[in-house]
Amino acid sequence: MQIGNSFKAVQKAINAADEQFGNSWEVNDEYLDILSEYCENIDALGDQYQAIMYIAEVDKTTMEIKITLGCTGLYTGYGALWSQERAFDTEKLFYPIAERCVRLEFSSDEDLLKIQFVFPSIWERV
Amino acid sequence: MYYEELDDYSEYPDYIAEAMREEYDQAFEDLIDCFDIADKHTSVLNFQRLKELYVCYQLVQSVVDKSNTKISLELHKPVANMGYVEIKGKRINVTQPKKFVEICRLASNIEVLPMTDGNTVLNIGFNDITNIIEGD
Repeated sequence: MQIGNSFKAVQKAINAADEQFGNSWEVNDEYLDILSEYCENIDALGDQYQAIMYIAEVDKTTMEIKITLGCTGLYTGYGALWSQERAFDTEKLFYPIAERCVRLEFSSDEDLLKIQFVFPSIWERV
Repeated sequence: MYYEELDDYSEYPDYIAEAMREEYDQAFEDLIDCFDIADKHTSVLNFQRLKELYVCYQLVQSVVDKSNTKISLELHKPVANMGYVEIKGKRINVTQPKKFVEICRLASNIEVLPMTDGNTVLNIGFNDITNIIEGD
């Protein structure tokens, strides 16, 4: 799947989870706006690394939001010897998202690197 | 065989193939220079940078879930003036991302790559752990 707008997928996951959580929990719009900004950064990171897939899901027990990005690799600093510009952009895009996560996970599926960003819950008890 | 594959730009138009060939040759020469400079000159240890590398190694162990990963420190690899902390495992779970980013900012570079054996490798690299003596 070619990456598009990750926030649309996140919204679908949020809507599905919202129905399951019931009336006692409500989405905080302020938190949702912040999450949409993170998604913009994830989209930009995905564009830069020609990401080929992403998965958005909501943890049913902790209510945390997980966004997984699939790409071939990730480089910052002087790592990308062939492309200094790309490496610099990665630092500007990756670090700000990474430091706002609750957890960060790197895993691989054949030749695909999966980066999972776990963001805190956006639900509040009514 | 591998070099031949890299050198095959036949699928591209001539002017792009030429530019890519030049770019590749230049990058390859830069890499050779990098190894030559670091390995053929007398150099002294940069204690500050080495300390940062060891601090990174110690701190990474507290911010990454160690249950399914192997964390190791390599000095003077791949070039004499470089060192890196390698985290290898099926899943690299960073439990404290904020601290992890602060650690990564100390480093010269980070690389995260999937391996053919199913593992994922995260390298936190430090350049200039030795400095070349001027005039040598």
